[in-house]
Amino acid sequence: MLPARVLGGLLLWLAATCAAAHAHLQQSTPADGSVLSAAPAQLVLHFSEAARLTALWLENGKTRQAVGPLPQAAQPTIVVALPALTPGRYVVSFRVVGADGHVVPGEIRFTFNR
Amino acid sequence: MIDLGWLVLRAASLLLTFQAAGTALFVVGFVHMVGEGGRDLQRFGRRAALAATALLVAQVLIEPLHLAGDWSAVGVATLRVFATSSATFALCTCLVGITCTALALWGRGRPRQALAALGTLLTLGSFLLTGHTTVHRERGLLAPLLLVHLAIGAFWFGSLWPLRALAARAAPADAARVIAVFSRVAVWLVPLIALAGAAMALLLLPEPGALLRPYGLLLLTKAVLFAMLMGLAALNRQRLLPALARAEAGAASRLVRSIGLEYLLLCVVFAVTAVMSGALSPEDG
Repeated sequence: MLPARVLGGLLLWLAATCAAAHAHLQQSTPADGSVLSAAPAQLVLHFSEAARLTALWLENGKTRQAVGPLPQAAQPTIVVALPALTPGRYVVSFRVVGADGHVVPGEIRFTFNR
Repeated sequence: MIDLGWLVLRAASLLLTFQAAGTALFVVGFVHMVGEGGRDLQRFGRRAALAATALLVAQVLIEPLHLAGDWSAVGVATLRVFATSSATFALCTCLVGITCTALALWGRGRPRQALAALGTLLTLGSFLLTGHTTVHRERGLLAPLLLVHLAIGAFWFGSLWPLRALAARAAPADAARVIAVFSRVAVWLVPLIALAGAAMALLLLPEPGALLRPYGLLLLTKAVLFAMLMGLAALNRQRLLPALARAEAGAASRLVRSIGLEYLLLCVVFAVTAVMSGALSPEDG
């Protein structure tokens, strides 16, 4: 049991550090943890360096949908149009690849209350 | 789970790639000294190269999934990133290099040496095409340091299993003669791994405090493992090898165990390196 917990802890630690490395997400609109009164029409991600978005999902409760089309160019600020949202809690998951070729996953959570 | 699987595959691929490239270097330098064992040595190198090829192909195939994080998200956009990514270019270069290495281990004479040199250069050079060093402002210094670090590391690692097999199967005097020559070469080359590694760490780490973050801690782990390896190498050179040369009872089995332990420790070093270079960043993590 203890080795499994140690391994689990190690994996969580690695996942957390992995998310913090390379092309950092410096800022986003909607911001992580924000509560909005109007549905956001687009997602804006500001990174520490030019990055290419390789995947983007929007999750609301049990539904999870891929968002696209994704911009192709590597850029520090990435803007993606979002589908029409209904009120609820959302999790945006993304993956970007930086100039060094490393893939960095990330997540933003926000709530939309009408 | 995808990232963990990708990392495990990367570690296994790194290990076998260095095994094959290093064994090819050992074959070029030492095959004339091992007599009949040369065929076994080449067969072992070929198998390592073929296994490395299979893992590199698997890495290429899984890369779009790694980029997207989910099969359902793999689309034209992902494939376009995959096709133009430095990681894909490096993997394909490594694949060409390891194929040349495999072919070199089938041949004989000068063509083999030329092909082995080309294969090793492409294989090890592929690691300069992607990763932390490629985007660093001191790339001009980091690239040759990394190449020295990788080339000597490959030669050392790739030689250990053949040397272990030699100690186990060949006549003690013959094995001792080959291992003594390897040891004389290694005693000059292997410290350069640590020197190049330390120089790269000085350039890559932004501050001494970075040694206490995950990347730095793994770097310190590698340094500790290297110190343990140096201790084992000294034991082999000072005690076990002279005992083998004198054909003392049990000397061969003690040396076989010691080289086996050295090999296992280097496998751990490769696993640590795969995590450091694949999932962490010297500047942040």
